[in-house]
Amino acid sequence: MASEAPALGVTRARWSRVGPYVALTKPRIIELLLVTTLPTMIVAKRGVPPVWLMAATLIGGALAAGGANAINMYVDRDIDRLMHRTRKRPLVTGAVTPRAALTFAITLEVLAFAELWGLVNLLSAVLAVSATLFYVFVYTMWLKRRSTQNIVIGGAAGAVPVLVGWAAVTDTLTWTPVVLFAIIFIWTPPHFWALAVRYREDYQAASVPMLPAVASLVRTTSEIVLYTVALVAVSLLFSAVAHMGLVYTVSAAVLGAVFLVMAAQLWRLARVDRATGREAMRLFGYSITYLTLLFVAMAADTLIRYH
Amino acid sequence: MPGVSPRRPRPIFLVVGLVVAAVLGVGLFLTRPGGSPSPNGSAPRVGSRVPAFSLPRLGGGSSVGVPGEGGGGGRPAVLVFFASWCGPCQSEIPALASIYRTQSAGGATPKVALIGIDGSDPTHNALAFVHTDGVTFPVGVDADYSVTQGLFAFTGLPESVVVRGDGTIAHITYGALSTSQFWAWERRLATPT
Repeated sequence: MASEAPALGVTRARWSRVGPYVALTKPRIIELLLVTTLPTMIVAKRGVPPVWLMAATLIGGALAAGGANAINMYVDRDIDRLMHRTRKRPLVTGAVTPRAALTFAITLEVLAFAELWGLVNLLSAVLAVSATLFYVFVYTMWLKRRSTQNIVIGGAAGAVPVLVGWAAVTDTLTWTPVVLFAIIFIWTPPHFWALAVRYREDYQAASVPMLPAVASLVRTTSEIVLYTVALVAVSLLFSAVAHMGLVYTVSAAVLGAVFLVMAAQLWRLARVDRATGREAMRLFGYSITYLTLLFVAMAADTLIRYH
Repeated sequence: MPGVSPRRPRPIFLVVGLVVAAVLGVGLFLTRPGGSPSPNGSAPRVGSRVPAFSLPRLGGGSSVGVPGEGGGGGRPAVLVFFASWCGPCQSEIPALASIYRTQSAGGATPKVALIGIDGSDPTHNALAFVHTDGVTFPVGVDADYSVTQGLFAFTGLPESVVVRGDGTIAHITYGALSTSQFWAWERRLATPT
């Protein structure tokens, strides 16, 4: 552990320079965007798209999302310092200067647009970059610090990758990707509010009006339940719109039922004032599993039915 | 609660209403008919009349549509909606093309017209696809999806529509039309009840 081998020293030095830039892109969020994009491409094609197209779309999408996240950190560097959860971000610790971060972010966006336009198509490039613009200007700069509906509306940016994936395969958009968009859009509030319940003191310290920071837990958790009901309904609507089979429909029903039960449990605990960050984080964790499995199910359903 | 802000959360109904409105709005925008609107404004279904359309022919020549080569005026037709990028089309189209070549050999007129509708496909891709697969049946170019999506409300490819001689829809297949399905429909259409 304490070895000071020169080779390791070099690697570490290099990482200390690259690492903060990777952190600027919020790799965990990008991961989630890709989890929704790839199955969408399979559903659009009703088969497995060529590997180069999947790679080009995922790389372009990751670049665009990474750039958006970095711009977000640039704009939010003042409040990230006030919040415990975000105190180690590279712009707070000083590992990267604000100017370097912004340059890096804009470079990523330009690369994303060029890559998608050149290798995939113009529609996917325009969609990916408009998601960034929406995220930065509508969510981060306008709504985040002003409205309790900040992430409800800002969630639209996170839902765009399915449109990018669909457009990459078909070069057009139909009802099917719009319903996929709606699934992620409606999934975002319960997903994010569960996290914000755990970190509500952070948001209060930074005066960011995330719903759990300004409303009671009962109020927040009841909204989580309502959104979850809508989410389950839209996930089943997708089954009809996209002519999905049993694999998807049953998966959506079961996954949704679990989500509903967990959300309702959190609400019940909140009513007797016993909801804690731990239960909220369990719901947050499940919301990620839910979205991942839902999209895996639609890809599996498509591959089973058309092959 | 601590940290109460002067801004109270707005009613959930407003948000849900906005979401529904946004989804409906985008949906209506996307499904707006680009060509002639369907007569009753809704998606065609089995038993209803096939919507009339006319598209430029892939590779040039007279336009392609219904009623025309079939699907009205007495001759049944199978409309095959496809694209070169679509996965299952890559096995469906060569099989149907082979049937059509056999049936139209020596200038014969097949009992059932086969009409391809190529959706959202760059022309050079479509031409290469059709060439490789030996497609000799007429193919209409639906570049902006106005027929596939606007008129037939299809959300994926391939789909096919079996049309009786009198212009009513006998069957809609979501996914590839197999050769055995094609043969079965040809038999049923040839012996009108």
